[in-house]
Amino acid sequence: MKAVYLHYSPDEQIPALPYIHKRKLVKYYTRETLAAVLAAARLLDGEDIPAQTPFYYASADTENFEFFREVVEKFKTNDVRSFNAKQYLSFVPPTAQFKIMRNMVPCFVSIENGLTGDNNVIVDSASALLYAALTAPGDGPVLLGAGFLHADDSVEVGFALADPEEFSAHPLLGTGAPAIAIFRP
Amino acid sequence: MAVVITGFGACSPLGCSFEESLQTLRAGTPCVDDIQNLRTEGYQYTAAGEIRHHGEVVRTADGVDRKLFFLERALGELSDRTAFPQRYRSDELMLNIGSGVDYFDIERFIESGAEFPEGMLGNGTYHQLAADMRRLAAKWHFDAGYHLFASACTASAQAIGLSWRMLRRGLAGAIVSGGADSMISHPAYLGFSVLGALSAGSDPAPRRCKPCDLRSNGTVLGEASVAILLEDSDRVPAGHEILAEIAGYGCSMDAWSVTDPEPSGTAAAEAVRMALDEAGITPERIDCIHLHGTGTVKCAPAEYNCLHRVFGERLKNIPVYSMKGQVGHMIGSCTAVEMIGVVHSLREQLVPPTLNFETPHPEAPFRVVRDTPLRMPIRYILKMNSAFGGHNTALIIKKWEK
Repeated sequence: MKAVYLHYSPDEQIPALPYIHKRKLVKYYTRETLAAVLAAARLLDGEDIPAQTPFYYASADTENFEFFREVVEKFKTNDVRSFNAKQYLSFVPPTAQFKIMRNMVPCFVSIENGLTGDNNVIVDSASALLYAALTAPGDGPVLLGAGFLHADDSVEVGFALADPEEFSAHPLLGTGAPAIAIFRP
Repeated sequence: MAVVITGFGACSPLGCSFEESLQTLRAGTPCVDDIQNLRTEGYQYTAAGEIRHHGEVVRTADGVDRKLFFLERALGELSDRTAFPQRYRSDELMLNIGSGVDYFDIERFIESGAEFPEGMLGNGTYHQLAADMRRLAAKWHFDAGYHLFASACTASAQAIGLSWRMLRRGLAGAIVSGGADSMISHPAYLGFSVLGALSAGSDPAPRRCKPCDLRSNGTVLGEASVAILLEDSDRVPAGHEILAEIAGYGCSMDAWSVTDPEPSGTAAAEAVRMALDEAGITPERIDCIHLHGTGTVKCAPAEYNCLHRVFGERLKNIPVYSMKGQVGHMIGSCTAVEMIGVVHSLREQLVPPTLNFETPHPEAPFRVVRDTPLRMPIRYILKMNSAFGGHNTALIIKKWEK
């Protein structure tokens, strides 16, 4: 199994930009997306994988609640004490929905790498990610990824290119462990 | 062995049980209206498919996460109908559910003046949904695992598809799959409204979502929690009804755009071909197609192009149906609720009419059934779904034959 694991502390810049081909899309990225695109680029550097390579990704993030925290703060700062849809929309950037939806991270990784094969988007679970790999169609390698955006804005991501059978006796199968635990050193 | 569907627990705009859902499908009653569970002052759009019981929208108290509230109810119905907790050891039972974004009652929070909570949930993150699913799994003794899927409009298709693959490999005894999602909260509904995907115009709410119609201008959001019992046909006791067989599943990614479907349908067609290969059948065996059919402007032409790549000119003769004209779009649970329509088709041997379809779309000249059900022999149904972000899924569902 070839794997990459990256960790960035809360204020640390994630040097992903040189690896991003579709830079107009960066406005939709979270820190998890930046780290995931970078990790995938490092993993796949020098590899020539088919576009149909299955790609499974598990996301664990705090983005939703950080997003809500910011909106609540804006209501307070503007002394708006009752909910109002127009006010809400004025406080929410148009790109917010892309940052809330958990499937956006693997979608951007797929767009950057032209991956069109079997896929799945999992919330948090190592077990589900491993089961997805174990039951992948075809007999080639699979690409696995996991991200974990912590409450303090630090971020971990892991990516691996592996033969599915390498996971058949993985200790995290059937456990409640987070997917990033597959990749942590 | 075959992977079969042996029961549903369902809460959706169609009703709060599987039988009620079938009755509403038979009646063809529109299930979309103006939102009742949210205060919608300042909303540009107000149509929604809310969960109903006997035709009336089910109200819940402020602060209730409706997708989880109704998932518990659906699990209760499924347990009563199938006795799955008694028929399987807890370490054979798994829960695989497609869902959406976390719930947050922002209206109540702002009006309370409270400080934003600090700290994490028990699972080390702020994942409310993941934490709630863990509680549900413990309560229902899904000791083989609980897994959440989050690929937006294909989340429940991917949950069902992975469950199918796992059961074929003997990785679980039985799996409760399906979906639970509700767009009936301010962040969810308003978030989608700014994406330009919702139906505008002066039509009354029940007529807003017009799948495959030239006049279609957007979808209508909804909510549903549907639990589906999937198991090995060899372990279904005599006397228990088998509703259908899942014969194939395929999935692909457009890798094109995060907002629009890839217009040529090339990658989506690969998902269909994969599902057909897994089912071991040729396209000629498909009798009818249950579409994704959202009613957005770009959906029908892309879905037509995809299917034309697989079925060729025969596509013009294959009857198609979209449930979304009747109930709206449930996002993370849309496949799960639409599987009730698939089972309805197989049981009754009919293709239901697509509500609100009137004017054929020249770029998507589907054979859309309208006004009354089309009765015909049906053995194989293709169920299509695709998602914001570029995911495509195809399920092949077969009439159960021993």
